[in-house]
Amino acid sequence: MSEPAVARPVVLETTGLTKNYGRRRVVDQLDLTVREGDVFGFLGPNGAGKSTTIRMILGLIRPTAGSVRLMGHDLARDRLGALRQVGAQVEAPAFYTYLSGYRNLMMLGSLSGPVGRDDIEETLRRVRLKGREGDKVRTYSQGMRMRLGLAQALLPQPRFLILDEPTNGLDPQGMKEVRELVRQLAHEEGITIFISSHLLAEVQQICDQVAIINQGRLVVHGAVSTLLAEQGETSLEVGCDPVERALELLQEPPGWVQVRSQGEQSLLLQTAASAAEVNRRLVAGGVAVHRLVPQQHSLEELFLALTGDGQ
Amino acid sequence: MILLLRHELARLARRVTPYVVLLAITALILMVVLGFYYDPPGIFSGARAERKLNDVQVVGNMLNGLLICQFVLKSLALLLPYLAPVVAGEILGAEGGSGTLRALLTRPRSRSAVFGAKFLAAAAYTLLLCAFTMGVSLLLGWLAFGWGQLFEFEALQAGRVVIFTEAEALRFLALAYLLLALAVFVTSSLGLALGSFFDNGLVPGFVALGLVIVLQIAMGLPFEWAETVRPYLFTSQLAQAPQVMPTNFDPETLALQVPWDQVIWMLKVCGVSIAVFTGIGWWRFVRKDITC
Ligand SMILES: Nc1ncnc2c1ncn2[C@@H]1O[C@H](COP(=O)(O)OP(=O)(O)OP(=O)(O)O)[C@@H](O)[C@H]1O
Ligand SMILES: [Mg+2]
Repeated sequence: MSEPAVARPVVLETTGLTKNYGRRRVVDQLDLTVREGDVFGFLGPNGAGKSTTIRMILGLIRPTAGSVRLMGHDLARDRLGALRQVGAQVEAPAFYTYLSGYRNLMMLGSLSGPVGRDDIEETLRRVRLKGREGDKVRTYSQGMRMRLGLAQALLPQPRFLILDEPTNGLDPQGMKEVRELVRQLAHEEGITIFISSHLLAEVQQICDQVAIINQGRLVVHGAVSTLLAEQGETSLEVGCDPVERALELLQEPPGWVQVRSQGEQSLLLQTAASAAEVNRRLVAGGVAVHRLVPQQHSLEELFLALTGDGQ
Repeated sequence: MILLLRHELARLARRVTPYVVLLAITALILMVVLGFYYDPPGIFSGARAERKLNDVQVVGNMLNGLLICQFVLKSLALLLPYLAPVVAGEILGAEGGSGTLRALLTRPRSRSAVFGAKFLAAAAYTLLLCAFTMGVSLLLGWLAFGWGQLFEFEALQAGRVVIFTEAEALRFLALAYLLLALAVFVTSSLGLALGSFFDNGLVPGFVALGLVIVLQIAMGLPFEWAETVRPYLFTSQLAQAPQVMPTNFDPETLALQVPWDQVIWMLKVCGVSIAVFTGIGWWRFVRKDITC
């Protein structure tokens, strides 16, 4: 992720991807590009068309229009080639509930390539299901099924992982484990990951690329850092003394900062200027600055701004 | 494909419905055997004693395992076509119902291969069902009544005598059960195919069952069009398998007269029906949006 984005090969590319159900358009002209090594967050409110898009990417649903290129193969022409190194979990995990977790993993995994006992044990350990693999899936809790869903997607060693809301139904500890697992898969094993979610904090924490869709349409697509920076003004928390002097200094020239709130020894500012600029002016004016914290916009604000009311 | 088939069979072997059907059949056969044991039809009462049938003097065991096997063939031939589609419908339909179909189809396997494996699994189960019926009826019949030559049942009821040696009887019975499997597979393949249309484990089987019953009733109506269509429809062939057992022999050469014309016609109608149902099911399966 240190290399420039253009240098990395494209793993997934959708072009004008569209799906109609009857007269209703559920996915509309979607263009997405995922490159090798990306951790790609696919965001949208409920019913935005995330799962439908994922189904089209995996060949479960036939697009009304548009095309999908997956792992260098045209999905419509060579679905098997495209899926060979892809692991996926679509919507709620579904298993043969009358079989054990182990047997489910063996059955599903072996359809993509050879899977040994060791591979399964290792994967079970990763998703923290070790010890329960012999039980029938019927007896698993929702969170355990989600973990098993992750496990089957990881078998056998995909190069590209597509996960549809993988933390759904997990407890906070489980969510954290999944985040860590995703990071580890991406950073240590170089697996490209595509994650749909509506948990924005989560996506902000683990994804470097993001696409937001709303009502089937792409709203924004790009690197998380760039998108947040483009949001313009940032907030700045300034700890300084004396505050009155600082306020005087910040009034000139008028309008370059807004003071949002004021404490005994602190100010919360809204400004387009950099933290360094603010610091320089205050210090030059004889104010002691003991804390200067730029506050990043959250993806949540961006998301709500783009998909929120008025739609 | 072989891996897919192995998985299908493994799943079939771990589901409940296939065993319920086998159990139901065993219970029915047991009832037949008990019925013959405690309340044998008139011609068999005192079967071990001497019997006078028209001008033939019978000494020995007319009521035996082979006769039970033939009797079960005739009576269960009517029932198996209703039982089998319940299992076959589940093979595909249940995967849609539980959502495992989407897990299965995100794997790099062609949909045709997935469908083909399910088709073969349904065929294997149908074959097993018929072989099981034959085996259990022979076994229980033998345990209850012992062994002996087969007095063909239909002829017996008509007051005639057509006798098969043990080996001959087994050959004909095996052939008849094989034909029965073909007839049963017509409704199985209908159940399987309907699994492409309903994402549910039970609905395809019962829709298949309903269709068969409706067609059978419609073809039974006393109208000219029903008469015309009847021979071409699979429903009229479902109970034909037992007919392969000859009930007559040529008085001159003493050769058994197998109604081959009837058998070949049944083969054709059943074969075409299976092909049509499977074709439609496959056609839908490789195209459909997996929305389960
Ligand atoms: N089989 C279907 N027939 C008709 N409409 C459908 C079908 N499947 C999905 N839809 C519609 O398509 C839209 C998008 O659904 P989709 O499941 O892709 O949303 P999503 O973004 O995954 O939502 P969520 O966050 O709730 O999972 C919804 O309005 C849904 O009602
Ligand atoms: Mg969804």
